[in-house]
Amino acid sequence: MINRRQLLLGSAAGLVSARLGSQSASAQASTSQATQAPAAAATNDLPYTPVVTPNGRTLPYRMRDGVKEFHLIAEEVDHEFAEGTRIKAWGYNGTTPGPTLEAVEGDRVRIYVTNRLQEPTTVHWHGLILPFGMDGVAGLTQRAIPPGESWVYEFTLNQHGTHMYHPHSDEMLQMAMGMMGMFIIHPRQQDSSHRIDRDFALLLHNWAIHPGTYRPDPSVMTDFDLWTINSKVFPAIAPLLAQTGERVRVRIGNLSMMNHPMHMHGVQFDVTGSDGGRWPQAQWRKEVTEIIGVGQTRDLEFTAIAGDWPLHCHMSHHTMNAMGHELPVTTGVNQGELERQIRQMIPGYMAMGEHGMSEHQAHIDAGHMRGPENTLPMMGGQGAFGPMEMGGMFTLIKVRDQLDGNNDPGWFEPPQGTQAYRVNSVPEDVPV
Amino acid sequence: MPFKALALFLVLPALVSCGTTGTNLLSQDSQFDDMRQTLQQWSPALNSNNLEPAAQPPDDASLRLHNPAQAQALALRQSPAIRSILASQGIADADYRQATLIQNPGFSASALRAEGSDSWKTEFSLTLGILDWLTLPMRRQLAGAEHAQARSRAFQLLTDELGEVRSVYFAAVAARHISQQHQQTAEAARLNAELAARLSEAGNLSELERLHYEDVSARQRQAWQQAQAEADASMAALKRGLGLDIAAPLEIPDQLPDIADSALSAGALRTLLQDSEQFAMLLTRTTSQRPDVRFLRDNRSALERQLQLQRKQLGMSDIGVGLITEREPDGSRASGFELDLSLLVFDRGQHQRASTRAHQAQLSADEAALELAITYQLQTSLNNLLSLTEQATQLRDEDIPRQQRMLALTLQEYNFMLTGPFELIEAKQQELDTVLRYINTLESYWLEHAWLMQYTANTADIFIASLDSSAPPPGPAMNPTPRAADTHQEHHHD
Repeated sequence: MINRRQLLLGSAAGLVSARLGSQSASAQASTSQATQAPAAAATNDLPYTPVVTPNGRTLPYRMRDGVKEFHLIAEEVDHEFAEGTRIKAWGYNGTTPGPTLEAVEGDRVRIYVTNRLQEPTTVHWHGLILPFGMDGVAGLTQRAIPPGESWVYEFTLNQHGTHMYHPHSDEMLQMAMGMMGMFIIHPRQQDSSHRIDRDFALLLHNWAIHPGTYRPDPSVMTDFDLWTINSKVFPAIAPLLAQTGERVRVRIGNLSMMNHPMHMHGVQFDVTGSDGGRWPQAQWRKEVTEIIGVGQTRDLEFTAIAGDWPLHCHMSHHTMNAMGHELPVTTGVNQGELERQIRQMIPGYMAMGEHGMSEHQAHIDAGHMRGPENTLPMMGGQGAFGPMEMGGMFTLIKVRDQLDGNNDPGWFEPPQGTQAYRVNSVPEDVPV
Repeated sequence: MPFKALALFLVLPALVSCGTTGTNLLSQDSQFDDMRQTLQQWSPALNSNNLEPAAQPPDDASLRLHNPAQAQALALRQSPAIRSILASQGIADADYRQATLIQNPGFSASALRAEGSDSWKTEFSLTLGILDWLTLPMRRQLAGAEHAQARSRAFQLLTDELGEVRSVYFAAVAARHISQQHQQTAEAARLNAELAARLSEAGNLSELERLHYEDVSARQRQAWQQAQAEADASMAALKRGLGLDIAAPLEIPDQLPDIADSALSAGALRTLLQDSEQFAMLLTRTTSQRPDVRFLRDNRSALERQLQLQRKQLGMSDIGVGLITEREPDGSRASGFELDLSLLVFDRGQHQRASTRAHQAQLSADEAALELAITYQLQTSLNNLLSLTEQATQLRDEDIPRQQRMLALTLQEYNFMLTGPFELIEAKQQELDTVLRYINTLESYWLEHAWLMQYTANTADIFIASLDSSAPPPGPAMNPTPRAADTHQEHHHD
């Protein structure tokens, strides 16, 4: 995992810290870390606050003759969504999503792309205004990069905003396999009136990892098994850390196959930008849920308030892990003696769902219901007060008055008198 | 006593397949010494003196037959059809004795009185068939050959009858086994239908879907009822074959023996089918033991003797010599000899001998045709057995475990709400269907096995087993083999 020092080195303009050709540690590099996302505040050396990619990293670069040089390596990676589910994915520089590219409007960038896959690929710089021949569309703007070859994309960043990159060669499969990343371009002129203290990059995706399998199924169009933020599912998604009163920006890109209404608890955020760049303040709007369309990005900004606030897709199936889509509804069905009879024929059978699905996590957590190999239970996660019964595109924004570096502050303790509590009876005159 | 000896001769080969006879039975008649030695060499169980497994039970207890050998032993004791076959040998025995006797001498007396005379003329004669005397050894041989024919015919009938008992026994066990499997399948379908009904009552399932599960359940229930009826019919057929009263209580195993309990391993069968010398040896043994072949050979032998007799008779049906004495009315006496024969003018017996020779030729052709048929039938049966062995082995060792694994994995998916309870129960039904296919294959196997044993006069299993030292000893062990029916389930309840 990248540390703060590496991040600053990699992000600081003019600091030649990363040797070109410093490639991923291994083609099978693991991305199993589920640690807190390192927060980085703006420094005097930078005109912007470096972006933080939870569960990921920012790609280092070096300066050569005034050009920022990056190196992306397309390759197979061993990826873990959460403990218990690993797959053979494809990504960049050992991870999915690939490392975040970060630059400043007006920069000249030179991006080396090495193809270590067994099939051709390209990189399309999604939403960037650039010369036709740099757009990375196989067969249209260039010949696809054959396996084993390295090609260069070079262009000047004429815009700012939250962008993405992904293959445009065998695109359906390569994206389904996890090849994508964020490309953040900071404006050359910073908005001094709304200085960002914390800047996070989240990339949404969906995966068809059928129960018991180890490789994504690219042919699936709707019934996906896993819904991820930065290719992780809850509870393995690193929380976003901030301090009370800080201005936080959450950049969300969507390269999945569905739109995602991303809902944030605890605040009304401003929608301040997109892949079209940072919007004029007059165009900002207050929201608590913002739909991030397929192929779109949105910047959500807010002032942090103490608490552990969920940030999640509001399509409730997207906050679940693998689940059946054609199950009979068992709610309200008392199987009674029938359950015993079925168990007699199929030892281990247990009637489920008579009173809802909440019991599912209890059974799973108790460890007496074994599931298929390499498959996450539909719901999970333990909070301070019990099971959270979540999965998929769900994470937390943990805000404290004072953070201890990047360490997880633990569970938020509601101040006295600010938490829901139990009553013995409800006054009769309360209308219902 | 000839009848008893014959009965033993007929019964013993059948008991070889059972391995349940005793030495006391084998030592009753020296004319079966060669067979006794062969049988004891083939089946050590012949010395175990355990003929009584199917002994008559106490009045209040059910008769228990643990294997087909016991069924055959009981049939020997009870079956009217078998008693009839054995009784027919009493007739053959008597005919044989009769045929070996010399014709009684003839005696005649006459008295004549001349008209008006007081005196009588008397005449006495004593005659004896010379030809009968002369051909007695030949006639005895002929009678012996005809007796052997009758014995072979009876042996054929008895073998068929006992083979039929063996087949009917396996069919009855299989029908019970199949019925039980249908019961489980019907129960699984019932559980699905009941679950559908509960879901429908809760408003979670449409009537159309509920009726679908109900319909499947109804059809499975009908299949079970039919299987039950077939099991009852099979049991009735077995009782009839055993000669039992239809109301007599009878218990048989619930499950067919596993293929591994057969002496005919796949390796041995394959060897036999690929090695022409071994196959020829089995063929020789089969033809030497099959009653119909022996019948034809005995028949040919009898015809040969008949031909020899016809030659010795020189076409004469009879030659008689006699002693004659006369008393004339005047009191004088005259005595002398008499010769009585037919003159070979027209019928010299040539067509009779030609007919006998034609019969001989016909029998030779029949024997060749039969041996050819046996060759093909034997090969076909061995092929069938090998195929059934491989099918059953695959079902037992691969298909059923695969279905069990699929059920376990489906349960895991059910646990994680990836699949529903209907699919889980259907996975169980798939497993049950596979077990049913296994049972059907086992039934086909054991019926084919029974047929082969009958067809080869109980020589096949001993011979084929000798080709595979690892095979279990020949004999119809009836140990139910739960391996195929065993299920390995993951228990999720603490």
